[in-house]
Amino acid sequence: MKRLLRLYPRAWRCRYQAEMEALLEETAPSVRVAFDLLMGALDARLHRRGRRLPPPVAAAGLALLGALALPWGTGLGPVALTASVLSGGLLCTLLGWRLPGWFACLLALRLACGAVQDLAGSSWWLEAAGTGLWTVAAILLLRWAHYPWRLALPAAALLSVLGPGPLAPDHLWTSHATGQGLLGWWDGPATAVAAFRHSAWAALLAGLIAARPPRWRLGGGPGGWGAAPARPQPGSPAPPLAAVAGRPRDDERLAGAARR
Amino acid sequence: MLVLTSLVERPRHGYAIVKDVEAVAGVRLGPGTLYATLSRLQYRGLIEALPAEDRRRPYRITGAGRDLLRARLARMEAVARAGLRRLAER
Repeated sequence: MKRLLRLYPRAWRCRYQAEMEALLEETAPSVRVAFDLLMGALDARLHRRGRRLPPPVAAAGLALLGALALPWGTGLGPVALTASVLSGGLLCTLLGWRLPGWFACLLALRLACGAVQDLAGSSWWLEAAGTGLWTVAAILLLRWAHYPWRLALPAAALLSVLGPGPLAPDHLWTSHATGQGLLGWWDGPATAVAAFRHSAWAALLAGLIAARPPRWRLGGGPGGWGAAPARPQPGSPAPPLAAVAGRPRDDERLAGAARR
Repeated sequence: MLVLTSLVERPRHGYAIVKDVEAVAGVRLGPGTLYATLSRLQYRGLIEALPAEDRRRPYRITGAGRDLLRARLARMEAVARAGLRRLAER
């Protein structure tokens, strides 16, 4: 029965798992209790209070907007593909699997850009729009991501500086010559390079923006994305879940500090 | 309401709340329901968590929780009186 507690969000488990385990030890296991826990887990996942929009949802929203911005979208293939990947990303997000959720939502975003490009043809402003969307996604990622992600983004930016640049003339020429879209994900290695270039330049721009003072940061607020919430003093009453539900790593730190 | 009523008497932890609610109202709260309720009540400032004893953490009703409970019970009492009076008139 205790295994069902794994279905709860991490912040919830940090706060309530020990108590719920103690209660479950004194409760006779039954189908009714199991169903109650399942419903409780669903409720906890759907009603996370005190949280801002998580990056996968924000990125997915951007991807969805990109897909919906295709009223002329007769190409059901890429749109349907985008929708399916987006659904997968949202499902991962709902289940709390953040990393695959990010990947799926960013891929959906990328596919949406590809769908636009495939339908409208190659042009510099679409390239810029794609980079812009990736920039927003990367900023959201920087604001919320854990440490390894923050390392990965500057690394990508460094590679982009060493690479051909955001509008590589050779790739542009090749794409026009072969009639392929610049942003088509499935067009081959050249467009994969273009995709990487987008992400790298987005990382660079996002890094520059994120390095500015807090008031300029996207969704800043006091302290910006780097600020950790106040830690509880040992022996003090446990904070409400809303106070520890902001970021998962902070949740763990707070819970660890409270336990110590 | 049931949880707040249980906590009015004294601070209680999860299992004690379940037992008290069962004794008072004949309702057995499941663990998922109970902790969803506790989380909401705590978020709204109607109860507060006390330092944990072993793995059990007692909860205490706050002043706002008492005020809300008093108002809700008064309203329920008025409804109950009106309903009983109308039933008696028939």
